Amino acid sequence: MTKTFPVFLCVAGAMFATLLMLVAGVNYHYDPANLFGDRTYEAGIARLLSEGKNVANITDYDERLLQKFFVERLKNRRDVLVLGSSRSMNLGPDLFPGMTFYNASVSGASLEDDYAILQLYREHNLLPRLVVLGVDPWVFNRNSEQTRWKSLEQEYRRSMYGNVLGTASSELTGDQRLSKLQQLVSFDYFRAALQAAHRADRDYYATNATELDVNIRLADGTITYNREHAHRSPEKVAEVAHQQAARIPIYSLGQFRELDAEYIKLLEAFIEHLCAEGIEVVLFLPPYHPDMYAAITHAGSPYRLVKDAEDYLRRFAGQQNLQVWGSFDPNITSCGRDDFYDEMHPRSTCVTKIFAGFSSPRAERKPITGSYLNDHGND
Amino acid sequence: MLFNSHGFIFLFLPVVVATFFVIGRRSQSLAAAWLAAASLFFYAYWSPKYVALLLASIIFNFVLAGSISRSPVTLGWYRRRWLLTLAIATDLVLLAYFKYANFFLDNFGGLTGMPHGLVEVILPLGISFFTFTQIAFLVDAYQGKSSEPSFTHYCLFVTYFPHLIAGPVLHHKEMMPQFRHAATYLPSARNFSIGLTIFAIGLFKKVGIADSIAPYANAVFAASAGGHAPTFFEAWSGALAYTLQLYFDFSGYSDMAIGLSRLFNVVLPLNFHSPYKATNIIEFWRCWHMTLSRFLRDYLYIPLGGNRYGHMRRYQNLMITMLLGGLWHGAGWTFVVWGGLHGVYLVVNHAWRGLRARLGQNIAQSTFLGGFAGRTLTFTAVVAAWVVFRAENIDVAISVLRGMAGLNGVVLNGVWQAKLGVLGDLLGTAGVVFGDLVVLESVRALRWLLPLVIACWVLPNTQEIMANFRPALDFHADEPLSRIAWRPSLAWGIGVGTLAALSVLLITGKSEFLYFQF
Repeated sequence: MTKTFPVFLCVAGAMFATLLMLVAGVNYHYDPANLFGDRTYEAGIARLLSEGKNVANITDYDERLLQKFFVERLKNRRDVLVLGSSRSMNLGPDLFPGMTFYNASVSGASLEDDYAILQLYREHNLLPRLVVLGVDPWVFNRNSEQTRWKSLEQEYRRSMYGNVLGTASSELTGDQRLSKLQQLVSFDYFRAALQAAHRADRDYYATNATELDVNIRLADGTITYNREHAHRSPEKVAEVAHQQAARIPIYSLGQFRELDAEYIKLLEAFIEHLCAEGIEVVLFLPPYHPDMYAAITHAGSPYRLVKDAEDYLRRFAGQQNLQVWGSFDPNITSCGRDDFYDEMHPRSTCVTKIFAGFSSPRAERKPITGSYLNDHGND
Repeated sequence: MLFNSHGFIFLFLPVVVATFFVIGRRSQSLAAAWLAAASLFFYAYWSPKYVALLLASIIFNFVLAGSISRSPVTLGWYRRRWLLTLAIATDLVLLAYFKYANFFLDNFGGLTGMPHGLVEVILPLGISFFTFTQIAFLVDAYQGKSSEPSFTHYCLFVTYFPHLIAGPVLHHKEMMPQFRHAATYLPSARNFSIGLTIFAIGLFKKVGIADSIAPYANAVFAASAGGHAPTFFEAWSGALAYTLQLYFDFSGYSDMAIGLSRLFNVVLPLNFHSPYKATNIIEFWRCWHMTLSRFLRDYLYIPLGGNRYGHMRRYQNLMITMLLGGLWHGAGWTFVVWGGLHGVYLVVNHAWRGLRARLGQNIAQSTFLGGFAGRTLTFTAVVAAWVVFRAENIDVAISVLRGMAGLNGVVLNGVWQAKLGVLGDLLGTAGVVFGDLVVLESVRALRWLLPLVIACWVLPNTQEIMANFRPALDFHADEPLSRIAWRPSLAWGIGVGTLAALSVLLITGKSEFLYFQF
C-alpha cells in the first residue's frame, strides 16, 4: 500500500493535466472570442462590412466583437454614429442625408456597451460628429441581466478609467489578465470553440440582395430581417406581442424596482464626456408595440418604471438642452400596429415617422452642471 | 477568495501547501504561523478592512479565555463566570451589530412608528462562524475542557482557512491536538490522495450540480417576488431546485473544506451525512449541518435544560433553540419562521415517538413501507421549510407554497395535451390547463431535479465512498462499501483526475457559496 498512494496521485494528476491541456489546446486554437489571435468568425464578417459589402446568413455571433473588428478596419470617421440596442438597428442613413453614417447598435445594449463601443472609436481617433443614443428603459434596471457587454469589458474599463474617472490606464488589470487565462480552461469557452470548429466552412456570405430568407447585416450597420420576420401580418405581430407580454419577466425588465442611481450617473457622465469632446448628442427612445406598451404600463404592472425612465430622460434632456426623438409610448410617436416587427422592434416606417423633420442640433447647449440625482436625491 | 476559483486552485493552494511542508521540516511553530498568516491573507482577499476586526476578536477572546482557564483556583467561580459572561456578551454584541442592527431598527421602527435610520454596514464574511467557534472555546475553557497557551495556535484554530468562512464549526479539543503532532508537518501521499479526492467531489457538487440548478430556483422565486403566482409544476420546480442547490452547495463546500484540511494532515469533523435520506426530522438534524447542530445542542439546548425537566420544558427548549438557530442564519423573519417550523416539526416528532413508546412499539424499527413513508414525509416537510428560508419575504413564501399545493392552478405545456391523448383530456377535465408555463419554458427542469432527489436518497455520500480511510472525525461507517468504496487504484485515479478536470472546466466567474451570506 505504501507505493499505491503515490501511483494514485500520479495517475490522477496525469489525467487532470492531460484533460486540461487538451481543452486549453482546443480553446487556444479555435479561440472563438479572438482572445489569443485574430482568426475568428466575427473578424471575417467585419472585413466584408468594412469593404462596404452587405453580409447575409450570419449565425450565432458576438455582435460586440463584430463592432470591435469593424472599427479596427475602419479608415475614415463617420459623421453620425448610432448607439443602442436592436431596437435602434433600423435607424438608417436616409434619415441623415449628406452625412456619413454607421449604426453600431448591438442586441440587448446596456450603458456599458455604449461606453465600450465609443471607446473603440476614441482609441482609433474616429469619434463621430453626432451620436444618436438609443436608450432603452432596461439600461436603468440593475437586474436587467444584460451581461453581453463583457465581451468588450476591457474597452469599457479603459473608457471608465481614462475618461469618467480621469485616471488614464489602458493596462490590463491582474484580474483581466487572469480572466483571459481562465478562458483557456473554461468549459463554456470549450463549447464555443467546438462550435467555431464546426463553422470552419464560413456560413455567411456577401450579397447584393435587398431581402432574403436569412437576415442581412448591411454595411452601414443596420439590419434587414429575413422575409418571414419582415412580412409578418399586423395580426401575427399582435399575437407575438401578446405572448411576449405574458412572459415573466418581460425582456430585461425583471425586478425593475427603481431607476438605478449608479446607471443614472453613468448615463449623465457619458453624455457629459461626449459633449466635452465636441460631439453632438441626440437621444432616441424606441417605441414598444402598442399592445406591449399597454401591458407594461397598466395600473398593476410591475414594469411601470418604464414611464419613469422616460420622464427622467425627458427631464434630463430638457435640463441639458438635448433633442429627444421618439418615445417608449407608441401613441406619442404615431407608430401603429403595422409599424412593428414584433413586440418591441419598430420598423423603418416607424423610425421615419419619428425622425421626420430632423436636423442636426446646432443650438447652444448649457454646460452640464446639474444632475437628476442632485435634484431628486440619491436613493 | 473562493475554493471554486482558478486563483485558489492553481495559485494559493499549491503555494500554501508547499511552503507549509517546507517550513514544517525546520520548525513546526513557524509552519503553523505560516498557515495562520496564509489564512488571514485568504480572508483579507475578500475584504482587507475586516481583517482588523477578525484579529481584534481573536486577541480579545484569546486573552479572556486565557484568564478564565489559567486561574480556576485564584479567580474563583464568580469572577470566572463574570469573565465568561463578558466575553460571550461582547462576541454576541459584535455579531448583533453587524448582522442584526438593521433588522432590529427596522422592526422597532415598524412597531413604534418612530422614524429610524439604518446602519450602513457590510456583514463581515464568516462572522457567524468565527464567533460561534470562539464562544465554544470560551465555554470549553470555563469548563476546563480546553486551554491554549500559544497565540499562534489559537489564531490558527480560528482562522484556519478551510473552515474560516462557512465552517464546519470546530471544537478546539478536536483540532489543536492534531496540530501538535509532528506527523502533521510531513507531507503524506496517503492524505494527499484522500484530500484531493474529497475536494474534487465537493468541487463537482458545487460547480457541476449546485450552480447548474440554481437558475431554476432563482427564476421561480424572482418571478414570485415580482407578483407572479407560480403554478403547481413551477412551484415544485423552484422549491426542489433550491432544496437540491442548497444541499449540493453547502455539502460541496464542506467536502472541499474537509478535503483541503486533509492535505495538511488535519481531519475535520463531519458536517453532512445524507440528510435527505432521513426518515424523520430528528434524524434530519443529526445529518444536516452537523457541527452547527452540535453547537446549538451543547451550548444552547442543554444549558436551557435539554430534556431534563419533562416533556413540556423539552418542547419549549427545542422551540427556543430552533428559533435562535433560524435567526442565526439571517436577520429576517423568514429565517425565524423557518426555525420555528423546524421547532414544530421536532416537537411533533418527539411527541409521536413518545406516543409510540407508550403504545409499546419499538421506535428503532420500521417496515420498508414505513421507512419510505417517513422519508417522503420528512423530505416534503423539509422542502416546504426551505421555501420559507429562500423566499424574499413571507408573502413570496406563501405564494410558492400555495403553488405547491396546487392552489395557483396546474399548468402543463400545451404540447403535452396531444401527446397524452385521452389522459390529456381527462387531466383537462380535472382542471389541468394546457398552455404556456410562464416562468419555466417547460417542466424539463423536473427531469433533472427528480433524478437528483433519487440520487440523494439512494447513492452513498462522500464519506461513505471514502469510508475505509477515515474521511472525517467521528465518522464510523456501518459497514465498508466493498464494491464502490474508494481505494487508491488505477481506475479511481483516472476517475478522480477526470472529475477534478471537469470541475475546474465548469468554474465560471464568481459563484459564492450560499452559506457565505450567513
